[in-house]
Amino acid sequence: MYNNNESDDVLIQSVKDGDCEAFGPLIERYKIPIYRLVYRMVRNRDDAEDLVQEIFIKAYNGIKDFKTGNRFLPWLSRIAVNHTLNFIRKEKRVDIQPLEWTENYADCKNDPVEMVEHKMLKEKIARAMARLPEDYRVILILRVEEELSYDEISQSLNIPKGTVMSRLARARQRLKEIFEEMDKGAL
Amino acid sequence: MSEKLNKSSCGIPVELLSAYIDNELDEQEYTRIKEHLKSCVHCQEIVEQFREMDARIREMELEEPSREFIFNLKRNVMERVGKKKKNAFWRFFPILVPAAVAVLILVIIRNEGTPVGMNNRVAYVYSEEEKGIKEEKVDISLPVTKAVSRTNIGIESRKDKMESPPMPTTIAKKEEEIETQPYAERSALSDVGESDVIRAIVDSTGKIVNVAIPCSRKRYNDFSVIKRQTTFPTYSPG
Repeated sequence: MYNNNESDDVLIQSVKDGDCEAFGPLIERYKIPIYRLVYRMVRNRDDAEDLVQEIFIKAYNGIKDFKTGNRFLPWLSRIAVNHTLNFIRKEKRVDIQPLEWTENYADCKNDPVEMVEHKMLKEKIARAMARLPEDYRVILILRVEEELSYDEISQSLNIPKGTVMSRLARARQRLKEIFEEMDKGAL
Repeated sequence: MSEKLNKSSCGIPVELLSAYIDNELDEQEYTRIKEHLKSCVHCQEIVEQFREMDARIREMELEEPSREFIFNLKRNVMERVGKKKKNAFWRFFPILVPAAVAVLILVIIRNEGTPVGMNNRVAYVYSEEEKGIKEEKVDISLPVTKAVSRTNIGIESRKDKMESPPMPTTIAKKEEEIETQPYAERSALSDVGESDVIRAIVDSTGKIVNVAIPCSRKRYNDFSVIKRQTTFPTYSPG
């Protein structure tokens, strides 16, 4: 039996040596970060949960390719991003689900007007993000929501660090344009 | 993806401003942009817009995973992984099955005519010709089946399965001699016919514990009549 005190390297080496039980703590450790990453890409809980399960199975099957010494999360994120991108391309959709009225907006102090404005703003952001090309959306999610460094994004997406920098700038610029178009009522 | 990156009016690439808010510039570049922002309103505006967008993105709602997902993910993944391992075994199944069948057939062929668990053993049955009892040795070449799984071993010598030497099964005595035998012995001897079968039951040490003549319902318990050969093999499983 393994516990959560075991380091990633020890667990990964055990899995590589054929002990599949050692993969359990890795699932427990990274299921939430990977779920959040995938959810932000697909914006649908059911899809995200199914995808996360498939991602961990894929990671298990490919763990022999993991280079010892590297961090596990960027490697796992890379599998998650690629797998989710394939899903999105296949399904050709990103859900923008209407937010629930029962949400608790603490900063709105239960003011109904503020609550509505807050809700509309969130939906606007979600719509704008959904209009971004996949590669721009993914890199923004990794940087802004997941707060990965450029090096980690570079590893996750398997692209040079310079490309990360320029793609992020383009993504921000494009998102700004989409917001402006939405404000003008063009979208 | 090949969109052209705008430059600010002062010629600073937007990607440097983007990297500036991400804190990903080296120290020298960071200081240069920081100094530039103090005097360039246009670049300040771009940086502020980017920061505001980031803040909006962070505000995007995140739906938490279901309880079922939280509690069952590990089990579901491990089951699927385990199943794949099992599948790896079944991939070899088409090879293993014929191989196992072939081995089984070889074992059966090899043991054909040899009692299971009593390879090449010799049992002795005794017959009497007209002039007194005579010992004859025969090879037991019939598989012992059900009896092997129990503590006792049944040895059945059937005349029709014996090849060489022919198995003597007749035990006959003159009427007057029969009269002098104990009751059990007499019953057994008088009931055995030409084609009857003698069944000897031996225990795990090779000791004969019972002898039966199936054609008769009577049991024959006087072992002295069935002279046991001293080298009668002991039972050794499989």
